Amino acid sequence: MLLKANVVDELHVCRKNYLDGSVPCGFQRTLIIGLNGSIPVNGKEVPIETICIEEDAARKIREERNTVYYRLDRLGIPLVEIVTAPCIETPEELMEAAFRIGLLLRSTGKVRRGIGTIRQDVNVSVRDGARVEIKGVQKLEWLPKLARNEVIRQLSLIRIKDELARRGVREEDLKLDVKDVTEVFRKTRSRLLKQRGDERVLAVRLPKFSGILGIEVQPGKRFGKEIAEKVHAVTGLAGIIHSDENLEEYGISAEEISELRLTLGVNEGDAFVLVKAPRETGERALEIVVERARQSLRGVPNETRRALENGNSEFLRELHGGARLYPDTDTPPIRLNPELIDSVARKLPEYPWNIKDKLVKEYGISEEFAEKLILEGKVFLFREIVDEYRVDPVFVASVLLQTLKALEREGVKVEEVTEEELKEVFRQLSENRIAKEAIEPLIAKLAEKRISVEEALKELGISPLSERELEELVGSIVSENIDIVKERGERAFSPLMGMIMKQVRGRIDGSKVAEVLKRKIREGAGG
Amino acid sequence: MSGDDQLKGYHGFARKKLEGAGVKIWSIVRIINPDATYEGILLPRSELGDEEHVVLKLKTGYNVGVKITEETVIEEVGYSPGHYALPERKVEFKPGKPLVSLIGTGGTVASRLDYRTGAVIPAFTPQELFSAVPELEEICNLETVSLFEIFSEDMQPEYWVQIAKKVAEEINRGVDGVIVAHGTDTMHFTSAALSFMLKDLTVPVVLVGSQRSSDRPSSDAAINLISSAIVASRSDIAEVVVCMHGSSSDDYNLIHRGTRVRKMHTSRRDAFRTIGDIPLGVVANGKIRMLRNDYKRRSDHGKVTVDSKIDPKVVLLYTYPGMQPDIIEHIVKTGYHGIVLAGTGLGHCPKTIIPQIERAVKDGIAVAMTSQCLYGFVGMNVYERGRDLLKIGVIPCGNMLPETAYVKLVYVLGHTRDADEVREMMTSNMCGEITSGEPYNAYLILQGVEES
Repeated sequence: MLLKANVVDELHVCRKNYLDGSVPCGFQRTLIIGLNGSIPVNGKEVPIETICIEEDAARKIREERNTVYYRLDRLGIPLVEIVTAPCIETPEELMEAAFRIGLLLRSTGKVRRGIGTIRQDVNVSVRDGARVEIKGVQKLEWLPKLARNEVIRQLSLIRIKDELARRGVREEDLKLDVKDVTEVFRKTRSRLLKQRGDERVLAVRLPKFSGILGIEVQPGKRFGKEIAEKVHAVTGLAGIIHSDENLEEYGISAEEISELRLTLGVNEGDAFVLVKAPRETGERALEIVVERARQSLRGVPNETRRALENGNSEFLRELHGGARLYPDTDTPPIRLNPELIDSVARKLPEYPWNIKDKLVKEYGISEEFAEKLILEGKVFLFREIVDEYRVDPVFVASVLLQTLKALEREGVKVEEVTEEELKEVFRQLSENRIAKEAIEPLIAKLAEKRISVEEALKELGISPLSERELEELVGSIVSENIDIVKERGERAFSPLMGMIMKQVRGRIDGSKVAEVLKRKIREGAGG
Repeated sequence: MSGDDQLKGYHGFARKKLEGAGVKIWSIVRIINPDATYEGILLPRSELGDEEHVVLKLKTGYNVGVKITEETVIEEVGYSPGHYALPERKVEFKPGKPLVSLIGTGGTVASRLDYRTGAVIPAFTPQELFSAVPELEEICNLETVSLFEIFSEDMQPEYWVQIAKKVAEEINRGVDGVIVAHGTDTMHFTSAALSFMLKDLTVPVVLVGSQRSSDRPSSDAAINLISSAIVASRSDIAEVVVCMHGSSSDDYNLIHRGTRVRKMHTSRRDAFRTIGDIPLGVVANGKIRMLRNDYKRRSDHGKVTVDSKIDPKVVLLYTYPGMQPDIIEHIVKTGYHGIVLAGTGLGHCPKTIIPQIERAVKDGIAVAMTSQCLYGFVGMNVYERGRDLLKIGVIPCGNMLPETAYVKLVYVLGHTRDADEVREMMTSNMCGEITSGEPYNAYLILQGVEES
């Protein structure tokens, strides 16, 4: 409703088959709950086509030969899918739209927070390119770069298509004529081609493809590598070797290369691809290579790709043609009670971007702080900390907005610190177990290691100082420096305060130290 | 409503409104409500659905229910018929391949999805089955007979007779094996009944079903069908067997003797287990491996007959703490002829019902004792209660499963009401329902601590 969508009157649960093993029952349940909404982004209303609820799948964590390992911790977790209309024009607008949606979701207090709980699937298409879906974008900051790199990729693939057209390559030229060239490499010194067990070396010729596999399609990634990723995704094979690589670097000798070229019938202007694998896997791998080479004649294939941290992406699967949805026979249609909708409508929170004045008035923070808290998506955390632990709002805002930024500038990975940890830090503060001064080193420690707040405090040597310990410490410093105290009286305060704070910083509030010190000085000077 | 209903599942207000707009199922419609407009394919609606919503498949593939009110405007913008039929597949008789008859008793044997409309297309005729499960074509020539369209929980002893007669008819006209497609809930009752009724079997009779409907990717239907086709066409068994998944994966099917099998799980694909014994055999990778020798062999001569005399006036009754005697009184008064007790432990019941049981036996009602433990034999000479029950004339059923004993008593009482004859028939083994002992590896209820 915050997205101004029409709520569907009667919900129908559908199934979408997932046959890769990531959903044990073989299908994901999904249902549409809202249609035709919108969200304001930079003064323009971006249409929201659909809002769905679906269940999350298991995450693939590793693959060994024929076994795939999944993590089940997200399996069945309900998630909301919000689809924007294809009318976002720049990578920056994309990031802003994603940010706004995330902000709105968090403002409801009904969604989980933390990394991975809000993920973006980006669809990118350029003129003459194709719709390519990039899945699993976990950090908003990746978005502009991912989108930009996908544009680069599609433009590169279109250039490859044009170049192949110029060379007159036709689809029927690319035959799947796999040759077993194991004999050529029987005694190879190349680690990559040394065969073990039933492994063979198989090769295929790609006529008129010379140089093509070496063309960079994304920053630091050549077309050959993109094909290798697809081979890996389908067969699990570590990689392929192709003629646009520096083969001598792989320990392949010049004699081996020329014998290979002869066996394959490779002419000037042709390329070849090698794989080392058990026969069946190898044949499948080369089949994919040839298939992908054929696709390159047509430009950009429709694919679903997985986002990589460096802003590139790798092949995940072919994009499903149309929605493969069918009814879930286990769930009867769910009729949405109009009263329920009305009661939700009455309780809708305000738009997070509209609450600046309220924050200023309610918490006594500056307009600048209020605005930053909103835009950085920290309002909810801020409110939770202040409301729950009764910590000075200005101080909380300054930590969330300034201290974190300062630490980041110093190279501390503050993004590693979770919201839960930040809350715990403020809880410790509210219980006077730590002093304000301890917050900065504590956050830095938490960013450095995956340890609990308690453990971090221990490692930093910050254990709260009891009043008795403080009395003792101040007493001993005063008596050690009794001469200064006698000589200067109250003016001895600042040098002594400096000495004490050096030892207790972060363990107790400075104002308490001052109080005790002043008393002790009076006693010392008088006595 | 007939299958030709152009607004299948719709009734009341929504139906009137759709009729008024002149649209039918598979029409592409635009529905204009005051607050929103929807466009999509009009889908059939479940009969249980209310009369205020219509179901649309949107362009994205999702289904939604749209509320219909007085103000709603419905327009037809096109028509996109659903394909409620599988692609035709020509079935040719392949000489040299065995001929198998498949008898349907209800439910879908197999089906396939139409992704475009999201419809589940049932398959039953040989053409449809070969289209849905093409592997079958390699195994045998198939002919299908639809006997009933009922849920297995609605089975009746009279239906067992009809199935037995149909099976015999098919075998006597020369088929090499029979498959009976059956709902899983009461499959083990039917398998026991056919075991008792079919005499002088010459070929395998295989009961099969699926624990997960074939509209799910986790369905066991196709593999169960393939495996039972292999057993029906190639095995040298001439008994009634159940052929279902042996593990929760798709790696093998088990062949269970019809009188020793039981559904032991509500939903697992390997729900069917042979109780107190090991199964007859395993089907894996298209091959049959027999685990035992003591089964009746296939022969190419002889006529199969059906001994169809039954008396369905039998009850199957659990005994339990707090059981009241009036239940037995009521059964006697109502005119039942037999009671199968699934007793506790070695075959016991509370003493509160003993006088009524004694009364029942005296009135000529056969009372048979099995154990609700399922595994092991009743042992009615061990404790006093057992001896008391024997003394008043309760028939100890050895290790016969309660459901099998119920079916057997229905069969036996169809032949005689004479107490001695009933006792003689109930306590002697006819077709594997009572064994001479239970091997150590026939009791397998894992607890998570066993060495694997």
